[in-house]
Amino acid sequence: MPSTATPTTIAVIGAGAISRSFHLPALARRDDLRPHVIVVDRDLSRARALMGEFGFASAASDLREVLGVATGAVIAVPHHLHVPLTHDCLRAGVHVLCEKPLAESAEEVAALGAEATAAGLTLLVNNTRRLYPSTRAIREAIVRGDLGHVTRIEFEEGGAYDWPAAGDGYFGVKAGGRGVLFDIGAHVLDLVCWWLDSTPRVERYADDSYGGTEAVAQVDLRTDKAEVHIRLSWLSKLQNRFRIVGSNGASIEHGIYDWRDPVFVAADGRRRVIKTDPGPRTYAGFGDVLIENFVDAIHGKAAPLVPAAAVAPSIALLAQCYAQRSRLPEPWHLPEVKS
Amino acid sequence: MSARPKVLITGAGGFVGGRFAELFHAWGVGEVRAGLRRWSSGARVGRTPVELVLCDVTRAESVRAALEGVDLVVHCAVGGRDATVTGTRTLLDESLRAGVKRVVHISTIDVYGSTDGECREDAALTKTGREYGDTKIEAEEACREYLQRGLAVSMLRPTLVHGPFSALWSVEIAGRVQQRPFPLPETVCGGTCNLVYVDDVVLAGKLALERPEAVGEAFNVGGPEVPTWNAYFEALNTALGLPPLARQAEGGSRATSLLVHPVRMAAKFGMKQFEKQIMTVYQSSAAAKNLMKRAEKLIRGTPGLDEFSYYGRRGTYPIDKARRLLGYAPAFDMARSLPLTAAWLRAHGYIGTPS
Repeated sequence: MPSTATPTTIAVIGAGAISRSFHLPALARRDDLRPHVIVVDRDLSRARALMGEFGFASAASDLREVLGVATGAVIAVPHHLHVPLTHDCLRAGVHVLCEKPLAESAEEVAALGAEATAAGLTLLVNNTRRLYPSTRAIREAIVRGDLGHVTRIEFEEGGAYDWPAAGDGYFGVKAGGRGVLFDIGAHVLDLVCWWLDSTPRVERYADDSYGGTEAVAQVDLRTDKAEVHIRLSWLSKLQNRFRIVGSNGASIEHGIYDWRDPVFVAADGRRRVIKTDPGPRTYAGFGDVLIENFVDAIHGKAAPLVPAAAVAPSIALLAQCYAQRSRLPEPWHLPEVKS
Repeated sequence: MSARPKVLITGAGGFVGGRFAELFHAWGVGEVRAGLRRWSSGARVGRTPVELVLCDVTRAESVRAALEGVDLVVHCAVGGRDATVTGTRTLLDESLRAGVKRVVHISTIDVYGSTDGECREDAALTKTGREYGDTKIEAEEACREYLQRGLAVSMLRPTLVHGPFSALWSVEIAGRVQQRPFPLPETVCGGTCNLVYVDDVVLAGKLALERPEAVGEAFNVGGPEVPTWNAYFEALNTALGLPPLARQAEGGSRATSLLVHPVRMAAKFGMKQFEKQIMTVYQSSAAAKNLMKRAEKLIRGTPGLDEFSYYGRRGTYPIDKARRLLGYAPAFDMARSLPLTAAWLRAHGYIGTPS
């Protein structure tokens, strides 16, 4: 692992599931960073427990305690807190690696991006799927014109929710009524925008929210050349696959969690493997890449892999979806029954 | 009690508890507080704007916090002995301390044991060695004990609860009826299928909370009809719009079941003893993953040996007492409920995908 000339103090804000499973292990694997990591959580006992588990320097219960000493901050708190905490860090001169989705609107993304640029600070977003060898290779294939131009994307992702959430910020009113679309959809819409290199418009958005967080969502998008259909669920296992069809009749179909090289199917049915780069294909590996990029970006040695501006189109789409929200037809939900 | 009583529903992350939370909220049955064993089980109930709290019945302090300000409790949480027996005791104890006005405990007809014939509420409760029914008997004993101590408890004994989100009686059976040939022979499925649609259970729960006559009583909670298993399989198949069931002959079905039995037992033993190691192999080897998926499909698609007697049982659980004391009138027969379940199964990807 590369080392830096001056110690880089990283504060991890939020000691929940994503920190414990992703960011903290990656930081712990860095000998140069481990002695300078501060775990911050309003539940100080939890912060201290993780500090001990990973061998870090210290723990705190409030972001304000660390803003004077941290070089960079990893924001890993419930979604609705991303913007205010990122803003607090940037205003205090602290570089930020924020969990996805960075914000709830394109305006917020632009404001945070401008704030970071003006202060000369890094603002990196953890849209991990951009690091997958398969998604990168697919983008390259699209850019090369292997599909002609993209005419259709179908994306289906779902499973019974089993993320070991440590707090109450994921569901219901406390999550601001933003559920599976804001969670998984933040990845999926980002991939779609990245692959298409454009921001589609929302044709239709429907979900199953009854005043709380949606657990099933259907998104139909369109550009001048392509239509996109996305189905997401926190409630039941879906196919967990996507299919991209091109104007030349070729297609790419791949499993979301399939680490093998994706397969390109030509119009005549011939199949070939799309070679991917030899980079990591495990979450631990993606964590290492992300932390390395964050530290390098802090020290001006690299550009952030996913800067704020890169996610602005998908954040704008998320906001448009919620603005056009309609209810999925669910005749079973409230049948007319005498109460 | 205030004009808008606060209702805690334990086990709100589950099938029955989740429906209690949804319908109580929709019906305006007080202010609903949905108790979750862990936050990650809140995806379904979080769709409504009810209050979500942690309520792990195996931890007294968690239950105590969840009960703060609560007037009424519907106790749906269930699990192993820790949750079902000790957890119920903990909930009752803390409810008594907290001054809760009424508790409805969701029990089961399994408390009667594996009996044929008519089981009314005064029938003997019989342990069978199966954990679910046996622990529910002990939970009911705890309810009666706390009743003596002044807590107003009622017990509901639902029959086979089906409907959207029912893993056992809807998703599992829907998986079966998509198989051709359908592996359960007609000759062994003439027994009674005591279905109750989940919304009818919630209705019974609401009535039990409201009616003073319910205190200290146990009630069978069934549907408006008692079809045979054959009738249920056929009706679900029709509701799903599938081609007619092609039933396997009894001899062939029993032979297949016998042949698969050792595989089923080995898989059960392996998952119980070595789940972590097996899942590691599953994740790391495509060949092992493929083999295990095929084994799972074979096991799921083949009736277990005990099913040949189960679907032939002719037990019934009259609901006269609930009708009389609660005014319970179940509204969902198969004609009304199965189209709803089928629509849910289709929307959630359970139909037409490989099992």
